Amino acid sequence: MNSSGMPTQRQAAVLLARIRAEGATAREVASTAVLAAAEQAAAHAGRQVVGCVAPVKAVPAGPSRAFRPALVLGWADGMAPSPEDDLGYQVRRFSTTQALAWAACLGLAWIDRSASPYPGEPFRGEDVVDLLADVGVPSTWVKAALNHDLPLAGLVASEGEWLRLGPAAAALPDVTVEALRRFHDRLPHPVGLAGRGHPTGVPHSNGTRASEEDAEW
Amino acid sequence: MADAPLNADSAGTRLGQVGALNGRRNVSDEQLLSNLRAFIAPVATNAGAVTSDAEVLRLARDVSAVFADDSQPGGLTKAEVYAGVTARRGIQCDQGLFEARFTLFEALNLVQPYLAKKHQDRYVLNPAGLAGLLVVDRLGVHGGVDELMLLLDRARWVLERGTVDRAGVIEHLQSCRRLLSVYAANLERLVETAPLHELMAEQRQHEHHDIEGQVHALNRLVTDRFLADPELDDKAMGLIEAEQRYRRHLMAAVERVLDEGGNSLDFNVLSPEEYLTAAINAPLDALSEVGRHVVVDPPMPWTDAGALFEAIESYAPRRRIRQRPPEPPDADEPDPIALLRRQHDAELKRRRLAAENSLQGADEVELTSQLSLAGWPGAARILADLLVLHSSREQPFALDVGEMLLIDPEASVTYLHPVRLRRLDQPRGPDSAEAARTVGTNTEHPAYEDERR
Repeated sequence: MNSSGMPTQRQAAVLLARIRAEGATAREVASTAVLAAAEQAAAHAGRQVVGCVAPVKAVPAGPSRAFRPALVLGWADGMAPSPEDDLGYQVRRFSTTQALAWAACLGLAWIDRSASPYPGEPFRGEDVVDLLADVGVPSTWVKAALNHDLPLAGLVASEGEWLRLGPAAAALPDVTVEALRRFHDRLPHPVGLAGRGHPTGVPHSNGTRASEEDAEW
Repeated sequence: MADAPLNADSAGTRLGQVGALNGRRNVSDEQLLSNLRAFIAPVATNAGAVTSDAEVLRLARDVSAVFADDSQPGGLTKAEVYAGVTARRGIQCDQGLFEARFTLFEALNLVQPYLAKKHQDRYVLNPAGLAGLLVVDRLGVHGGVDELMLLLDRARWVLERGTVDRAGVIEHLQSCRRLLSVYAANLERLVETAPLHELMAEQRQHEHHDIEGQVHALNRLVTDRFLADPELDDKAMGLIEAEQRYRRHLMAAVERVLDEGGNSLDFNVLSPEEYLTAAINAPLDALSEVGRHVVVDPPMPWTDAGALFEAIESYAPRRRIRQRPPEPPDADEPDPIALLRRQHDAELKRRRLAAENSLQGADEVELTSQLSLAGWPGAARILADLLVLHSSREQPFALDVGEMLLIDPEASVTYLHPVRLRRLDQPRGPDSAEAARTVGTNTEHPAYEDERR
């Protein structure tokens, strides 16, 4: 029990439900005890609570979404489903252009193959459009994916004029990340990075640099 | 029916929907053959009397269908039956199996010789055999519960028509009671001991049967017809008690299926039709309880590396190539463009011939007097033709018009300049009129001497 009057287990359940509903929840909404209980409950279901940095609200009436430490629900090791292998159920998938837009975002954000793709480097939407224009993808479709489909899926998050990989990218199953790493060179990449014109590590609105350390809690 | 190893295809699908009425089966191959063994047991001579090979049963069904659909006066030969079975299946039937089974059918009188004499080779199907296959159908759909319904229905029918005496009524009531008691005992055993999937399969066979209604209707008929008959009242009461026991164990089976199936989140507990019926007819409160304790994620698109790279590798931009619509078939209408071209070519040819005629083989000729003699408007036509040839770069002619003006008020051509026609060594170049000819316009313009030079 804690100051809110709700048992810790119940709060942990609420936290997990909130993460599922919002996609990513601000880290500060849960105490350490509640978080530990939520981790334990998630582990029973083959899930795990992953730390990330995402544009989330801490309180409902709080300021506009700013990048802050957040929590997202990922899969425990070896527990990620593989609907691509199991034809027993259908899942929703991206269209070809949406998948290409996501691949281009990965290619622009994930520079170092040996590193984790998340959080990656910030990139600009117009870079994605230009990159895919070279292969004939209409710009309107790319912009629609960048402005709607990918943010809705939590794969891309907007930080002013820059874009970053979203909380769902932090929760990608390990097997997916390894497969992406194996074929990292096939991701769309710009020819040379000199023309990108952005510094590595764009500062967050709270003044801390975006790095993997921010995702740890 | 001889024993043979159970034969299923590698995909595990049921062979030919054996025992299926209208192709619908609720029991597995194993269950159907087990039901058949129990069905045949009263008249079997040994434990191996019923085959365990579903293919054998399918062949019997196909043979019966050939006799029923392709019957001819005088019956069918064995070869005709074999050809009919092959045609129905679309693939060659196993000749050895067919021969063996046909011989057995003949021995057991399923197929009978058309004429009862030696060496005749035409056969007909015994109707009793076809009736037996219909029984197999029912065993395949509801595992024999239909027999209970038929028994109850027949008992009501004979009572309603008054075609049975008191002893017959007692026999009907006893048969129904016994069958209900056996089913009740079987259900009791399955509820206590059977695994969930077996209980679910058995419980489904008892769905959609209004046995309670049938029993009560039968009881009313007995009471109405045999008033104040203690023995019949006792038999009818026994039937009702048997039905109540049957219903009690059936409900226990349903409860166990729902409890265990619900807790295990086994969605096979209900059939798709039952889910649909519940979705349409169930109250909102009940529907809101479904999945109350089931945690789900929002339906986000699934991203996997394979699909991502496949999109990268296979993407090809769509190019809209505008294609001309097909030309309409040749109509009888004349082509106006072609007509204009022909007219233009003919006119040009006429002008060239006129110019050559004027030159008379010379390289140049003075035409002033010719124009004067041509009068008006002849001189204008000649001059116009010559000017067209002069302006056409593809024509090897040049027209020189002098600056001096010849005035003769009395002549038909009052004002005239000296005109000389010259033959050029070769045409000056492509004619702009030639390019314009493709769009059907004549852009030739007469050029004057000062412009040419």
